[in-house]
Amino acid sequence: MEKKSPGKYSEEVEKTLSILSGIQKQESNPFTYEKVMMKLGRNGIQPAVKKYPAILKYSLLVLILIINLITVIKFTTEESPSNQTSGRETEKVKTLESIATEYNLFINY
Amino acid sequence: MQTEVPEKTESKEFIAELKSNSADTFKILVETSRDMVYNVCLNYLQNKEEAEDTMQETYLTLHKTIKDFKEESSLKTYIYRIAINKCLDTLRKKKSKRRFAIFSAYDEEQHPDFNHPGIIRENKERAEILYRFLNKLPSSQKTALLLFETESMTYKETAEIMETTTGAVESLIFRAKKNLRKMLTKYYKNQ
Repeated sequence: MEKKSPGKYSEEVEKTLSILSGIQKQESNPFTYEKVMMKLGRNGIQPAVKKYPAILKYSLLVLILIINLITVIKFTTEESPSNQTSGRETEKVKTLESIATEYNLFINY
Repeated sequence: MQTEVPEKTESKEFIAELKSNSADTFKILVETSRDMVYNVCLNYLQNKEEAEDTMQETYLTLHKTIKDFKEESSLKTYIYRIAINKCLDTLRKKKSKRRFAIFSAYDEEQHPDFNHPGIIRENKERAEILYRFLNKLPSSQKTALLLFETESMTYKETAEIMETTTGAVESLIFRAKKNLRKMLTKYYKNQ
């Protein structure tokens, strides 16, 4: 059997060791982010959604309050429409009663 | 392919956004650092599936712990640190699984999980031998050698990731190479 010389061993060893610095970089899975977010969701952590600036929230609140205030003021200063309707109804009833009396429609036979 | 974290992601504004739990910023970080993390995991674990899982675990931990990041080191260093710790966890779990699988005739020597796609075909056999002995080194020696050789890091960068001194890293790499040479020589002599 052929025996290797010590020089041959060290050559082999150095060749093998040199592999470490020659490893090619590999590309990772392009869906890594999606997979991580899915796992985060599964662990009960909600993915953070971009928040609107706080000033927008307050502006919207103030706007809604102003609209409500204007509506309340408008309704309290004007005559209520239900009163107007009941007045008209009474007039109608009176007219109908007068017609009924004129044609003797209230007489029971 | 991106194997370096861009400068932009090291800015204070970016880190602040990340800490405020911004999904967009987190996405940018994952997209720009995933190749770097994957390659570290792949070199450490030598298995595509395990590397992929460990990379995802790295980002889950990063998402959970970024609020505690004190910014004493760079974000890149912080990510590397998490990735290496996750790789060590994976190896520990694997080892304990093997211990429990003793009755199922699982033999590490007969079925090495060597599956590194970054090594050219003619070197596969040689790489398999190298990784077999690399995995026998103490984890600190293995980490230092891999960061220095496969990630082309400086002694200083390696020391920052391993939270030790430059001198200690030099010594770890020297001892790692010495041990590997010893094991490989013994192996080739017996061939």
